[in-house]
Amino acid sequence: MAASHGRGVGARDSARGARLVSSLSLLAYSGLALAPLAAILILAPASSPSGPASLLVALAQPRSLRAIGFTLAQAGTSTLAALAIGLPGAALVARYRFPGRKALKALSILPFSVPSVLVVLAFVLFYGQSGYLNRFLMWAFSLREPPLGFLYTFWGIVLVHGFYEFPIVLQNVGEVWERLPRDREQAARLLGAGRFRAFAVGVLPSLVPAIAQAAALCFLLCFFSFAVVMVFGGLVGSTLEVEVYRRARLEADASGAAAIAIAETVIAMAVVALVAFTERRSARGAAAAKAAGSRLELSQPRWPAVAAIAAYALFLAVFFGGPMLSLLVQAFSVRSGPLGPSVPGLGNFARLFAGEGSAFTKALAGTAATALPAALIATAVGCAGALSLRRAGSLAKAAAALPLAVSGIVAALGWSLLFPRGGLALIPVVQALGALPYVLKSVAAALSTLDRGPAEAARTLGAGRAAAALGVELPAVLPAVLAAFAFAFASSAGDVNVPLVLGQGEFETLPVYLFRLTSSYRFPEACAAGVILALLTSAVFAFKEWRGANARG
Amino acid sequence: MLEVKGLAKSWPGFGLSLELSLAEGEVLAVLGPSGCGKSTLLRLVAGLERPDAGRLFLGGREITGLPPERRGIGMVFQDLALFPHLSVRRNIEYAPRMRGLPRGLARETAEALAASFEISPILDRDPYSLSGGEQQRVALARALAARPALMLLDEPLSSLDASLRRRLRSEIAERIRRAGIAAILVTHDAEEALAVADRIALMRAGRIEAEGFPQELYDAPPTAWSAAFLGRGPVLEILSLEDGEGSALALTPLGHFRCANRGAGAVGKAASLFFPAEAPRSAQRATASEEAAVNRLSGRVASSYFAGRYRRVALDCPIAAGPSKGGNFRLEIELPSPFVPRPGERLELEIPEESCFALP
Repeated sequence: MAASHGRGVGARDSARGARLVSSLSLLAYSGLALAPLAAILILAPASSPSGPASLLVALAQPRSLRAIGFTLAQAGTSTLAALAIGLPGAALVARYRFPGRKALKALSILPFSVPSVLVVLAFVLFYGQSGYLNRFLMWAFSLREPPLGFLYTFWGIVLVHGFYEFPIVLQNVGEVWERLPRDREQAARLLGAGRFRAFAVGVLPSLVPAIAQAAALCFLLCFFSFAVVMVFGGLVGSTLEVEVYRRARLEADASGAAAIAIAETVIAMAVVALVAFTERRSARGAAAAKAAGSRLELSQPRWPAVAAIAAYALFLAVFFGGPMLSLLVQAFSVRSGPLGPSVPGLGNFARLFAGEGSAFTKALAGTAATALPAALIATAVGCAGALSLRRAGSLAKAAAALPLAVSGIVAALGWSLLFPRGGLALIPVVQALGALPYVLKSVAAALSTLDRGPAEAARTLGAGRAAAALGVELPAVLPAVLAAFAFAFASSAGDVNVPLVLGQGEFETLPVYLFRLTSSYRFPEACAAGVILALLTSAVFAFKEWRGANARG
Repeated sequence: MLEVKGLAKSWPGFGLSLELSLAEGEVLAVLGPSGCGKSTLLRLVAGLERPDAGRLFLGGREITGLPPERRGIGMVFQDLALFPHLSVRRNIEYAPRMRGLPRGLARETAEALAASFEISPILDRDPYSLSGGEQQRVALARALAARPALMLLDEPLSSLDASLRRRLRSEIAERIRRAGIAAILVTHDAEEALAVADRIALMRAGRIEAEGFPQELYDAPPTAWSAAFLGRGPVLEILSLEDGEGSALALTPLGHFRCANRGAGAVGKAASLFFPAEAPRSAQRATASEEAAVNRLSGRVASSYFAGRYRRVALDCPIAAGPSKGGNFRLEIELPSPFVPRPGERLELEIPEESCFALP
């Protein structure tokens, strides 16, 4: 009796201890993510003669204020564009079964797996002054001048962002919509509401949190956009992210960079807080929907829906597929002579590998050397973090989202201030920290839906705690872990910001190499390099799909 | 008041085809196993699905082509489908508002309904903060606020626990009867259908298998399938059937049984013998002519359990005829409860001729 009593107290103590440890480790983790910001805040002004006041002076400059305004305007408009492109798709995906539906949903990995540099390149090839679209329009309407010249303006940035981020809207909203019980809408119809009013009362209220959440995520990604703005924004304006980079690396203005970095992070934190808030609301909505049960069944589309699906598919094929296709076409065409026509060939690829220790081969090796360790670190730390998250209090959970607000450039800059001699070894660490919030979220989501039953059954069948976790629970969350690894690898391999800041112009990864080629208009080679980069990042996702399918089968 | 004529709807692997009619103020239970198409029937009547063929009339008016909101039909969904972002009050006011009633009038309607449903104190609460029973009342009140001519109930009690279900089902029936409207209740629970309905339609694989008043169906199920589905008693395969005067003699794997009741078309077709589970009574041990005995059962008790007024007994009976001869057939019967058979004990039973049915 006494023994069992003692064990009870011990168990309670150890549970409390576990909660404390996990909360502390989460706090430590957010501290780690916020350390670069602190470094910038403290170390940068120290080098300036006027001290901390220099931050305020730098922030009050018209140039800084213009950058803040421009960043907010482009991110806001880009988010609206992503919503406009993504929401119709979400509606179709949530209601109908049609060929390509899964592919459309799978596009949501695009903003994370396809490097922004590659998207920039594709859009230049298609929408640029001498791009395929302009050439087609000039031919079709016998024009002398290219009719579309908006790519290097504000609207060019919005266009690229809109098409780059819309899959997030499509997937996140479509997913919720698809799971929504259909009977509320039908109940409204039977109570006398027409089609639209039934939608307004039965569907829309449950979608609002998902829309807000997707919009906030898009806003954040556009807010931090770097490569797109570097290339297209040169003439019209610069975002905070670009401004931090320019001041720190090109103008040696440490306190200016610090001021902008802090402004950027504070705004981003407000958005992250909003995401966290809507997430909690939508979790409540999901619980209510779950309580309500029966789900909407996908239906075979009839006539007006077929037309809508076809129109949407055509729209995406031309304006989104077009740029991607241009990239492939350009990569596999070579000029037959100095002014001759283009013919299919592998010349561009051959040129990449030409010469002993070509810049491309070095960049490829550099990518592997940074992205692999980054993905491993992010996955390992993320899994441990997700396990802690399971027991942590809600404050720690909210803190876990904070690193989302620290951009790649800011993190890279901060860490280089903290470890001036860290050199290239910092690159994978900083990239891993950038991928961590997403890894953490994906693994934590899998853990939260994990059915405890099988593991408990294993315990009653004689398995120890570790055996049950490894043999029963791990296989169940393995697909999520693999997905997290694939995501972390792709985002690190496609990242241009961190190596650009920390590589100091000597060390290149593929995206940096690509960025350099694109900026100097060497498109054919850039396309060939881009195809290889895309193969690299998508191969990891393909492996994950294959392995995930095996795990399920 | 409701006429369903030649209604048909098919999907790959499933087809629904039936006729149905409902009188003014009548409560019809559509009873069947899951997947038999009973919910689809409701959805077709409500206009949530389009039929492949057939016509629907409500109060003499054709409604086949009307959208759901113009049919004048109310429905309580399986998961209730309360609007989670609206208060109870706004949920109930929804239909009156949709019908263009001014806010004040809609409010009065909701409050009057709430008073009669005894949910006035929860009018301003969030639907998902309510108990299962309260949610149920809100859903019914919301549907009645539309003043429908016909109410459809799609397994509205299936998510509740047994005791609450029993209490609510009589309450719902009472409220619908008080409102004086006709209703179709879909359920897979025979007890619920028997308790609530004026009339029952038994549905099987998209068709109406049997139709009748509860007592009628209970006492004399018209087909072997209905007898089995209603859980009324054992069903034995008939190997051969000789028609006699006033009764028929059926050979089953467990021997010969004389049946006073023949279902239409049972003779000559593959058919089944059914007797109510409570029909067997104990018989004197058969003597010499055991083989020739008619309407006799003998078997060993496998198990038995107490079920209130009776004891449910599983009996292993030796198979005496047909392809499985030599094996055992397990029968479940009911014996008066003071009698407690021991497992392994041998029972000799007799089934009165008037309790045996030869059914198609």
